[in-house]
Amino acid sequence: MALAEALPAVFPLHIGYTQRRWSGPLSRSAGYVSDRYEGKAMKRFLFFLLLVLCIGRVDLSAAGEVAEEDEERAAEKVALAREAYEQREPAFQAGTETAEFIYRLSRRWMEAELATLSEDSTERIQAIQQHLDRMTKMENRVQKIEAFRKESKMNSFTEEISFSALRYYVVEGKLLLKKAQSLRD
Amino acid sequence: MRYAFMTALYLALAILTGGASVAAAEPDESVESLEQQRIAAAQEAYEQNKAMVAAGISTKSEEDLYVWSRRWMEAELATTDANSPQRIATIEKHLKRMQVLEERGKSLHRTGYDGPTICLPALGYYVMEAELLLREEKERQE
Repeated sequence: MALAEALPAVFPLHIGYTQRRWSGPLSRSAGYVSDRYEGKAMKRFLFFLLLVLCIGRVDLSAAGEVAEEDEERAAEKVALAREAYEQREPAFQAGTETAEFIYRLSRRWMEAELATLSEDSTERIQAIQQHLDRMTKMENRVQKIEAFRKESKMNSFTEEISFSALRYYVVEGKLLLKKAQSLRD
Repeated sequence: MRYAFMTALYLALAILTGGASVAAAEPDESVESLEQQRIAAAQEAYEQNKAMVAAGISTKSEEDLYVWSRRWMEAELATTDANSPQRIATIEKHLKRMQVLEERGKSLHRTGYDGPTICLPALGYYVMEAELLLREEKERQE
């Protein structure tokens, strides 16, 4: 589009010369002038071509750089989401962090991973499976602690933990996995 | 001969009943069943959180109720057809829950309660969001 608009503006002399050349015999001086115009026009054309090629090259390399930067940022996002999860998960085990927060961190990690993968990648299923494993582990852990406390007749420190919520996290993970698997099949 | 026959019969019975009990013990992991389990879990979690907020458990807030109400609604919407009138009813139920929540917050505020869990603008947001969802769904179905 830009090239189509720019061409008539850059080569009016060249077009004019061609028209004059076909309109009839020219004087020597006129011919000389026209040849000079033709030379100029050719130089302009070559310069313009060079410019277009350079800009195209710069644009392409710039687009490549942006894509590379995006990939780097996406990978960084995965690393940060993973770090956040790994940092806070022990706090949940120690009873100072909520299951909801750990669930959100785990989902973010999974979503960040999915964002770096193509639609047909087998690694998508792996990423969802890992989220499901984290949620299942969390549910099992809470249930074990609760069972132990009941057995030992200790007060439940998990009274604020909703077992339905834990169930929800696991079931949602299973559904995500099923849907991803059915998309692949 | 008779002994061998009886042994074979017992063995077959054991295998059959064993197989049946194993099959019965396996949870239903079909998408439909998981969808229903998700609805039930979200509803239960909402009810539990509601009870905790009512009991004044400080770590629970209206935000938790909103999150679980939305998850409950979304889990139900996931099981309905795109043009089912059930979708509108589901969003209306979520809206109703949010309106009740807002009303409770306002009445607590009127009585002078200014606890950390009450955030009136947030309560207003929950209601407005639900109203918008409802309007969008109605327009989409028209």
